[in-house]
Amino acid sequence: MVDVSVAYPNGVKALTDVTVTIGEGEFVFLVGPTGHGKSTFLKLLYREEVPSSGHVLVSGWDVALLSPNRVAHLRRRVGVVFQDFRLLPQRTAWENIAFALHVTGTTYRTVTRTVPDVLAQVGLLEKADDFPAAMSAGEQQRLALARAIALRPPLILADEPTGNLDPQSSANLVELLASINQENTTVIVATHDPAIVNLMRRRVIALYRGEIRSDIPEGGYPDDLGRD
Amino acid sequence: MIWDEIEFIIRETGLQLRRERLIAIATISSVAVLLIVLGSIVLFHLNVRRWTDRISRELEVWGYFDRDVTRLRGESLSREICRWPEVISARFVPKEEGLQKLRSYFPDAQALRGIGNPLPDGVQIRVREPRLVPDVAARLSELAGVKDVLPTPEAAAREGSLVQRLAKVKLIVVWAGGIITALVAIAGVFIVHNTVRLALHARRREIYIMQLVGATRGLVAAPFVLEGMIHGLIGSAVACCLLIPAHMYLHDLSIRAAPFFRLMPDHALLRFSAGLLLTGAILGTTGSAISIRRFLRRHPGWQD
Repeated sequence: MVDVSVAYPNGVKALTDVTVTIGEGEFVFLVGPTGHGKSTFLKLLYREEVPSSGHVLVSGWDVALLSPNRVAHLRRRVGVVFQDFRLLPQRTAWENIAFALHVTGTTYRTVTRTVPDVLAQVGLLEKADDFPAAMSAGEQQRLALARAIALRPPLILADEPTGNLDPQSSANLVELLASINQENTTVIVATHDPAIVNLMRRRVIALYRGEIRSDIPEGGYPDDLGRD
Repeated sequence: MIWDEIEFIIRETGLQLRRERLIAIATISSVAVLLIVLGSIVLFHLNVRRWTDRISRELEVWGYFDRDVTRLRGESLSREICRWPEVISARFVPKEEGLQKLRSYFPDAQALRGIGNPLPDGVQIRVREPRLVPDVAARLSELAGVKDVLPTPEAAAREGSLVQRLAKVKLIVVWAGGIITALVAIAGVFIVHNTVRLALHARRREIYIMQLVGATRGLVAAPFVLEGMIHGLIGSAVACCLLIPAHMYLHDLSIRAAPFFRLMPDHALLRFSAGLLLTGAILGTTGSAISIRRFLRRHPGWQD
């Protein structure tokens, strides 16, 4: 991101002059209080939002300049996990993943091969035929992660992925993200949960009032975050 | 890869049709009702046009020869009339055939039995256009050897206005039919559009996820457009199932009750059915395409 600012029509500034580079294969925590720009930062990367000024480059593409079809192709290279999982309740675990693969033009043969692989990777193979409602929050989040990694994207974004999880499930999920990162996938996790940040000791970018307060290569959750 | 996408679109459409049964029933019945109205208007229109065309075509002028005109001379006059530019055909009708025809028109008239033949030889003339009937009648009445002309030039002039009125009726039917057809078609598109909007609203989460994981707009839209087309086709098939037997029944009835007003024959209904099915498919496709296009414009999955 180069000099990126995002201002909403009501005048609220979500990000101000943010310049940051995240390299291939990095694991980054994006921390900061709620409403201080973490989600906007992530939305810029999968082009749900565009910057008011500045440039956002993902895999060399300036996301603001992409045509609708190129946006679709960008998103195939970016897996996203949300706090509220965003699963399809009428489809089983298998179908949730298969659906994401089918809509990106994956062949039926590849889908049949990939779905059990990713389900096994997140430890949900035995839940393949279960609907999301029959799963615990932790399992639903792992399923959402399985969907995000099914296309083997080089970038995974997780927006408050542990927000609805108990501490054990949170730890499991972060371990999963770390193992995915070990396959050279870039992982960016937005969170305000100090526990997981302090557990991992990875690069931490702190956002405060839409500005980068700190960027520490192997940091913990900044103690001073929240103070002016 | 393209076959996998097609297979996916077909599977998704099938899934939607099974899952959104209420919406499917609402759309199909709306399309069916609309196409029944539309089909009835078109059938009425086609039959009236057929009837007016037939009447125009069958407008004839009859000339009756003087009794002293011989059959040979009558035939020669008929050939001469046939060469007139306003005339399509002129056929010499001997008085025996004239009486036979008269009897066939009035089979129950006892007065026509047991009497001699009061009719003279005549000539039956078909004119190129209905408006030419008065001219032909006038020209015929001036021809030596012709005693009576039916209709008389005066009556033909009067009938000319009837013909003109008929032409007006035909024009009104054509225009009114066209306008009503267009209005009903637009209403059809709107009905499908609105029911598909309901389906889109019900499936907005799925659409969002499709967009999130990188589905192209075409792939998001295709199952909905196909679904709309299928709804339209089923709706039009229902309309056909009601209209065709109804028309066949009325056709049979018209043969018995009003032979002068014959409805379109059954074989002509094949083309009508094909047209109605095509219309249903177009209505369904257009309505759903408009809906999904508007939906994706409003919910592109990103900020423009």
